[in-house]
This record gives sequence, C-alpha cells and structure tokens, in this order.
Amino acid sequence: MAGVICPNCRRSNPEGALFCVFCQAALNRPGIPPAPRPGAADDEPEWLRRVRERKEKDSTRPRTSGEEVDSNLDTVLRRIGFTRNPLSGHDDETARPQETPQQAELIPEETAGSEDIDIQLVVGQNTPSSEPATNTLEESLQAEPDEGIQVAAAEDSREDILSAGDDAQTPDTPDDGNSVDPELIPEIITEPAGTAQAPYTPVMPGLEEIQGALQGEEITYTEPVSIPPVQPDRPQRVSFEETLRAERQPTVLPAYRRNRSSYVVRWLITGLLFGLISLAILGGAAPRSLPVNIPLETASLYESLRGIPPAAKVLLVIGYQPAYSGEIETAAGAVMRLLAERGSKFQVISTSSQNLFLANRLLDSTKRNYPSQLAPYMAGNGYDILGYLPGGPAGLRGLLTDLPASLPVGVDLNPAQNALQAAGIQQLDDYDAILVLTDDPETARLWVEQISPDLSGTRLWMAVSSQAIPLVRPYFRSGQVDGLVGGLYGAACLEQVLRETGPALRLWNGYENGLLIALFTILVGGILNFTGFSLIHHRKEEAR
Amino acid sequence: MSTADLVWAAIGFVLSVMVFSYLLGDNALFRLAIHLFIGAASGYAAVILATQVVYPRLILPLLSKPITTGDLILDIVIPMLLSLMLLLVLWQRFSPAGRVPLALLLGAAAAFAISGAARGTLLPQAQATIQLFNPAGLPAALPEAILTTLGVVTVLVYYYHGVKVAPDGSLKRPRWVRIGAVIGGTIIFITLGALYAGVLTTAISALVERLYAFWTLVSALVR
Repeated sequence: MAGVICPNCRRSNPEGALFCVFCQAALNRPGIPPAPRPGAADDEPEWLRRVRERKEKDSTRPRTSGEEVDSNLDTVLRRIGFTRNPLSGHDDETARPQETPQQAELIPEETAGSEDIDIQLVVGQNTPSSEPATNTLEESLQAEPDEGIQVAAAEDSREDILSAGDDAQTPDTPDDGNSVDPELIPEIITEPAGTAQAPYTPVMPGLEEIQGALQGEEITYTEPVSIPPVQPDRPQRVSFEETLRAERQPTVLPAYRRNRSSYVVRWLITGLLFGLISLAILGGAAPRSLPVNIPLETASLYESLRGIPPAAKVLLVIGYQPAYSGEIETAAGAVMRLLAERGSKFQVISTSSQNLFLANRLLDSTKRNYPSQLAPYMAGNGYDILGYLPGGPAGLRGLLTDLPASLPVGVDLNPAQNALQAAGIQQLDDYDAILVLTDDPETARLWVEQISPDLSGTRLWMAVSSQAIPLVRPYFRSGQVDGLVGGLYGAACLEQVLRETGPALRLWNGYENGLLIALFTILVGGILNFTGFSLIHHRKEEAR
Repeated sequence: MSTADLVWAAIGFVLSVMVFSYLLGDNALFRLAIHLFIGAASGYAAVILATQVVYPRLILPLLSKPITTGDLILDIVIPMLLSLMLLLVLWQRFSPAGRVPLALLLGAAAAFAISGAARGTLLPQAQATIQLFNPAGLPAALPEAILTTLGVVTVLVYYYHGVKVAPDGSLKRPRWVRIGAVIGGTIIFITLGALYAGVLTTAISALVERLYAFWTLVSALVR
C-alpha cells in the first residue's frame, strides 16, 4: 500500500496521516504550511514568543574555547562508517565540501535551498569533493566516483532543533544557514537501545529511483541506527499552532433556511394549545380527572402542617424566578392558607437579589386566592420581609451561625433585627418551620446540604416547580425534607385534601388539556419522524 | 379589580403578547420586551445590592457602630480592601490584584460545597439506600430496595471506563461492566426523560396561568 514515508524513522504511514504513527514526527506533506518560524508571524501567541526567546537566548550564549562538544552524533556516524560532515560548522572550516550540482539535484526541491536544510548525511557523491574531509564518506567513496547518494535529512518536523542549531554557532563560525548545534543533534539521533529501533534503509522519497541504478551499489549496514521519536511535545505543538491559526480564520456559517412547513406546524400547535386551554378556562366546568393518589411527600407535608403549633413562626425563602411565579405561588398558596388558618407568622428572605420583590407579590396573590384566611396579613403585620441573603452556601452557613448579622436591614432599610426581636427569633432553630420556594433543584439542594444537618426541631418544607420534583424527592425519601409539594399537580392534591377550590383546581382543566396536546404532539411527531427516517433509509437502500 | 390592578394587568398582557410574538420569528417587539426585562432586572438587582449589601455591611457599621481597632480591621478595612482589589480586575494592568479576593471566594465556596455535599447528600443518600433493607419493613419494601440498589450500582458502573487488554490485543471492558453499563444507561435515559417531562409540565403550567390571567382581565373589562 502506498503510504507516506516518515522523514524521521523511514517507516510507511497511512495516506492522509499528518504525524508519524511510530515516532510522532510531522510528515512533510504538500499543502500543509510549515509551522511559523520565530518572528515570521506577528500574531504569534505571547507564550510561544517567550519560549522561543528563551531558547534563543540559551542557545546563543558564547561558548568557551575549552568547551569541547563531543556529541553522540559523531559516535553514531562513526558506527555507521561516517564522520560528521563539516557542514555542521563545528571545527574545520576549511574541510567544508562544496555542494556539487549533482548533490543539489538529489535534494528534494521543497527542501533544497531552504533554511531548514541543516543536516546532510553525505553517503556518497558522484564526483569527488575538491576539499575532502578526513575519514568522511566522500573519502571512502573516492575510489568509486560514480556511485553515491545524498540524504537530506533535515525536515520541518525538526524545526525547533534546527533553528536552535542555526543560532548555536560560535561567533567565529560564519553562518551559512546549514549548521547545527552539536549539543542538540544527539538527543534526536541517540536513544537507548530497544526504543524505536529501525534499520536504516534508504527508502526516502527521491532515492528509490536511483537505488540499484549504479553498478555495485549496495547500501547495507550491519548495525541498525536507532532513531528515536522527535521530542514528544512537537506534534502537539504543531497541531496546537495549526488549530490557533485555523481559529483566527473567519468562518461563514450557512444561513438558516426557514421551512414553510415548520411555520405551519408551529402555528398548528400554538392554535391547538391556546384554543383548547382557553376553552377549558372559559368553560368553567368542574375539575375532571383529578388525581386519585396523593403523592407521599405531599401527604407528609399535610401531616406536618397539621402538627404545627398555633401562631407558629415560619421562615419563607424566595428562591424562584418571576417566570415560575404562577406555578410556585399556586403550590405555596395552599400551604400558606393552612398556616394562616393557625395564625402563623411569616418572615421572608430572598436568596436572589433580583427576586426580592416577589415576596410582596406572593402575599398579594395568596391573599387574593384565600381572602378569608389571609385578610389580616400585611407587610409588617404577621408578614415581615427581612431582606436579601447574599453569599450562596456561605450565606446559608452564616444564617446558622449568626442570624441577625446575616440579615442586617429589611427591604424598608430598617434594621431587620427589630422584626426578629418582635417575633422572638434569635437563631434559625427558633423558627418552627422553614418553607423553601424554588424552581431550581440546586437551590433546594443547597438548603438541604447546608442547613438541614444542623436543624434541631425545625421542620424543612419545600414548594417547588414540577421540573425540580425528580431531583428534590430523594431528599424527602431520606428524611432530610419533612414535606414537599410540587407544581400544579401537588397543589391540586393539597386542595383536594382541604376540600376547597383554590387556584390549582381552577387551572386544572386547562392544565390537563395542555398536557394532552403536548403528549399528542410528541407522539405524532415521533411517529412521523420515525416513518420519514425509515422511508429515506429505504429509498437509499433501493438506490444502492 | 382596582384601576391600578387593571393597568398593571394590561401592561402584563401587552408584554406577554410581545414575548409570544416570537412565534412569528425574531422581531422588534420580542427584542423590546426582552431588553425591558433585562434592563429592569439589572437595575433592580443593582439597587438591592446597594441597599442590602453595600450600605448595611460596609457603610452602616462605619457610621453608627462604636468602632474598636479590631472591629475596624475586621469589619471595615479588610472587606473594603478586598472589594477594591476585586474592582481592579476591570483594569488589565492591575488585574492580578483581583486574584486574591477571587481565590478567597472560590476557595470558601469550594470548601462549603464539598463539606455540604458530603454531609448533606453523599452520606444521607447512601444511608437511605442501605436503610431500605431494614428488616422491619423488608417484605413490603423488598422490591423497592432491590430496584433502588440495582439503579445505584448500575449507574455507577455506567461511569466506569476501565478496560482490560484482551488476548488479541484489543481493549475491552469486562462483561459484567458492559451489562451493568447498559442497565445503568437505560436508567439514566429514563431519568432524563422524567426531567424533560417536568420541564414540559412547568412550561404548560406557566402558559395556563398566563392565559387564565388574560381571560380574567378580559372578563373584568367586559363587565
């Protein structure tokens, strides 16, 4: 199978691979721009610029004359029969061979002349060098001047190392653009035996054509060269940079095309919902199909309400958004009605700065629904608004440790402590019950987690919306919540027990119609969707 | 119904219609209503924060309380300093100073959340699951106990992602884990369905309540 040859380990990779599956080196593929060179892009990330500057600073430090760099590269090259080419710009400037035209031809076009070409393992050349280096391959092949290949081993994937090599030249060495810091090279070339062992076989792109063409050519090496992976973070870095570059490119999203049929369906569902619900409300018929079984948590709440002493002190917690006020107020109304019947005193706090105004609205709507029981209640008379409690969980803990300090002023800017003292409240346990009104299961959970374990004798009730019921119910089953009423359904159950038509029962028929339409829509939509999908699938199968 | 109630009900009705106009697609009326709600909510929240937090907790103690050095440092200086440091986040040059109060806030919140979750959810819920096997109520509660335990175990198994290397080199989850994960996934699926049903029910409740308010207003106007 034709694949992509890794320039690093010479192994074949699947078509389309960006990185070598064996050594993780970047594969040199046309059309993929190389990673930007230092300073090449003005918009390179700050962190990348800093890393490069640090590397540059480190690599360009002046080297002392006694600093002998006897790299492992020399060892490796000697093992395979070569010495390091003076092109590395290390020692002998005079021994640098000049690149012949034949050599230039053998170097791949995209790398020839590029500043990335820094390592040249000269295996042979067609003509002898005019400036032979001692013990180099050129010398060994001089006896066979017609044979030889040249391997351009520098690749984009080693850019960071090679660019560092560019900068690592000693001051007395002229920069010819092809030199490599010898300190850096061995880290690539040498590796403990047993890792990434790959016998060196000249199967680089461009070499296959000339292999075997020359008489007597037989490039076989007894000792395998161990070529380890390039620095492991390299592919990730290249990938990260490519991702960053791609993210900067503006993308035009396809315009949403409105489907005429979706308009029709939308209006059909709207008409059905509005029409049937309005019909139920305007009809004024007695509630039908009322729930027969009262949920356990609602029955428990009712029992707990009946067991509360007369003139009990109850803390109401406003923890719901205005959008859910209709449902929550309906659920809480029946509870407040029962409490008002026993002359309970309400004190209200809000855990959201935006929803404190709902405290007054709750009183108004409950008075409207149960005028006979709640007529005497007014703000400041049996119904005190203590204010907003900030801080989330920390605020709740503060309520336990120092209640008056947690609620410094009421909504009228008078000290809340006056209302607390008038009701004889010093700490949270002085309340007979806490009723949390919320549409958010997270708020309910916070009250259970932060407050419930430290309450002794104070009941914890909740009136929540239907969407929060499934997540709050486990706390009732574990005994952490003493009673729970949820949504219109729970309120209707409570009103049934009270044998009194309240807001929940007045809305019941419309609510039932709405649920029926929703169920019908989901069912029909599901069937149509399934049928359409099956039809399309069937047609595709037939087309095949 | 008083005149004030009537006016407010009419305003509520108009705003409800403006929100419902989204059925026609995104339009100016819908956006006007949304901007009105957001603006009113933000303004109200700002007033509440100023009157319920800043004034009583920062300014009032400074004005009215007899201040000792300890009180001054604990109640005034440290909160004010941290607040100012938090404000510096607005300027990029000084934004590192804001990390200190932010770290304090996040650290405190995390501490409360972790301890609360352990004391208020993990232990009590585990205890409640075990309590189902209480011999006193076992004959009747046995099916629920078994189902609950099965649900808890299989949902936990669903989130087990460990694999073993098979003889052929492939990575596979153990058989019992795969079976448990299928059951756990089904239970999660049912739970999410129940949550969706709850959301739908809440939306229907809100719609019914609004329509009821609308028809009440209309009937009051007709009379």
